[in-house]
Amino acid sequence: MNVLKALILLFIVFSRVNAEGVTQSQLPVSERFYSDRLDLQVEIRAVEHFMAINQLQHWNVSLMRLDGTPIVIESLTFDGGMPAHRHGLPTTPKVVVAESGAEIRGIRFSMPGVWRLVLGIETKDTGVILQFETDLRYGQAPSFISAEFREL
Amino acid sequence: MQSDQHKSILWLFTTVLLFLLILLVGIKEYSSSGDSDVAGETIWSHEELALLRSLALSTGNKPHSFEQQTNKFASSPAAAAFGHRLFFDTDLSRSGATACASCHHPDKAFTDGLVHPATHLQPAPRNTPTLVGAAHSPWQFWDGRSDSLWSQALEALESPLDHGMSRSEVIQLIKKKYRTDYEALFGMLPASDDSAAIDRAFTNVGKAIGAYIARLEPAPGRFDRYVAGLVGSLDSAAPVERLTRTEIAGLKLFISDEKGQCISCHNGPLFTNNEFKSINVPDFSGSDRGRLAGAEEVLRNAFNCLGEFSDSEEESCGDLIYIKQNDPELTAAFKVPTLRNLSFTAPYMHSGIFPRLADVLRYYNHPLQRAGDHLDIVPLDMFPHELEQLEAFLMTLDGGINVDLKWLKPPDNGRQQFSNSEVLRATQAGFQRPEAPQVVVISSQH
Ligand code: HEC
Ligand code: HEC
Repeated sequence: MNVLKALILLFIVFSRVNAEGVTQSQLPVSERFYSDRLDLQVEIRAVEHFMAINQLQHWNVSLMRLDGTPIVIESLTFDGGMPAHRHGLPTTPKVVVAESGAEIRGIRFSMPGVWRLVLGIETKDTGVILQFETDLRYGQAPSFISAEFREL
Repeated sequence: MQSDQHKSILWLFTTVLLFLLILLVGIKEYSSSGDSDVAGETIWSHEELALLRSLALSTGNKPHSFEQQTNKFASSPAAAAFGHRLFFDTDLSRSGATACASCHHPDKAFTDGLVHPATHLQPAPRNTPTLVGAAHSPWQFWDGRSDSLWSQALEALESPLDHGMSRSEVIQLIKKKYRTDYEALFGMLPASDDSAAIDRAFTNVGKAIGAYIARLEPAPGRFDRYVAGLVGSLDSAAPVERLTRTEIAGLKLFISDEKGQCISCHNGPLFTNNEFKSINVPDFSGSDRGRLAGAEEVLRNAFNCLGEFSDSEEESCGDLIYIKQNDPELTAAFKVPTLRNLSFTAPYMHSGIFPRLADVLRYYNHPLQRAGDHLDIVPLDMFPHELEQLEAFLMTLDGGINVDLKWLKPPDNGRQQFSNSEVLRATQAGFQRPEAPQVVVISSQH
């Protein structure tokens, strides 16, 4: 029994030790945030340069029930910055909400480190604020540290 | 009894195994913290290696040329050759004595060694920046009031502080002196005084100069060769480059989140994130609004990426379309400059206030803090030896200019009044640090 435990431990530790930086092709192109309480999920996705440092990028934003039923976004706001460096975004992203979906254009992350981003999403009958923090590193997938939904 | 013994052997085995594991993890953590110096080799973690690779030239990093975006002549050798002649020609000025090269000396990585040019008599004059690698910035000037090399050149030609020529005077000179060069590239010079035609021809002159400056690529320095060796992208003939312990220590401070934090602004192969930041460097009037004004000006500039003279599609003008403006953070914010070739570009900062690199680093240790100011840096409180390490590291970025020597000399077609000896004399009259190198390091590439 103990031997088994030790072997499992061995396995866990080794998989951690061998965890390497991700290569370009493994970098994600989207991320989802879920709220059980509000029965909502939000997806952000970029065709190119998702969360890459110093690359201008455009995001598609979609809102869904937890079962995947899409919800039409009526209006969207976007803001953010780096709390540790006390500055905002280096660009003025523009939001486009159309029949085909909601888009945030012109996002840039000019520094590695922790960025706090805030999306304000309104639908026909409700409004929600999604705030999340992500740590950006060169050559690594972004690590999402926290996410929080609030009703408007 | 038998089974008890069996149990205790198992326990012993497990304990030894766990101990070994802890030891292994410990070694791994220690080495990835990068502090060890095993047999003269520094061990870097995967994350650090990814970061180093993002900073180095010649590791497959090809920095983007913003000039190519708006100037379709940017990679034309004929346009660059024409621009080269214009760059050194003093006839291209009202006084007949000023060329671009009067302030941008090739042997100082295209700076002038002065705090600011003597003719710049405005309340807050600025230091002459290097042109090496400038094509990789989406913004020109310390406040980014221009978004291409060609539109920047047009401003220098018209500004009374620089060349002081009118557009039609420039075209007159081109007709007189450079008709064949011009017409081979851009077609017929305008015959009339039609101002739209003059504007178009004037823009073409700027684009030729832009094509010349876009050639001035930084050459890899010792740092770049060191990283190329680490990530295995060095060609096998090249000798392995080593950095000294002091330089490595400086590099570690430079990229550290806690210690130097330099990397947050000085990143990418040109060591700039192309942003505008406020670090409260004193200037001579305290009235320089920096990027706050620069952002407004570039949007108004008729020669910007979205204007009729730009060769770009609207969607490639993202930097202008999504520009940050009207934000208090931009007050007295200046462009994060490249850190390549620093030993040629003293004095430093937008106001040229620091004669030596050591002064710059000392400033980062204790930046000017005033109530109500937005300051983008924190005091570093580093030890003197750490500042020396940082300086030693910065020197490993000096690679010179990656072009054939002929582009760094005045063109010898017998038509120029700006002779080589005049360039040198202008250099000697300027401010010089005692330890400033006198020759530019050139790595030729054909
Ligand atoms: C009298 C000295 C002087 C002359 C002549 C001059 N410059 Fe400059 N140049 C400067 C100074 C000073 C700045 C910085 C000004 C500012 O930021 O407001 C500058 C900035 C620049 C920049 C921006 C670089 C950067 O990284 O922001 C470019 C490009 C440039 N000059 C090219 C030229 C060209 C091309 C000419 C000739 C048409 C020229 N200069 C003539 C002094 C001069
Ligand atoms: C918050 C962004 C930021 C950080 C962090 C930062 N810099 Fe800078 N750096 C700048 C800006 C902006 C300037 C130009 C300021 C000016 O001219 O007023 C500059 C200028 C410089 C210059 C002068 C270059 C020249 O050609 O004039 C040097 C050298 C330099 N920085 C080195 C460093 C080092 C070393 C560190 C880390 C200890 C560092 N910087 C951290 C933004 C930053």
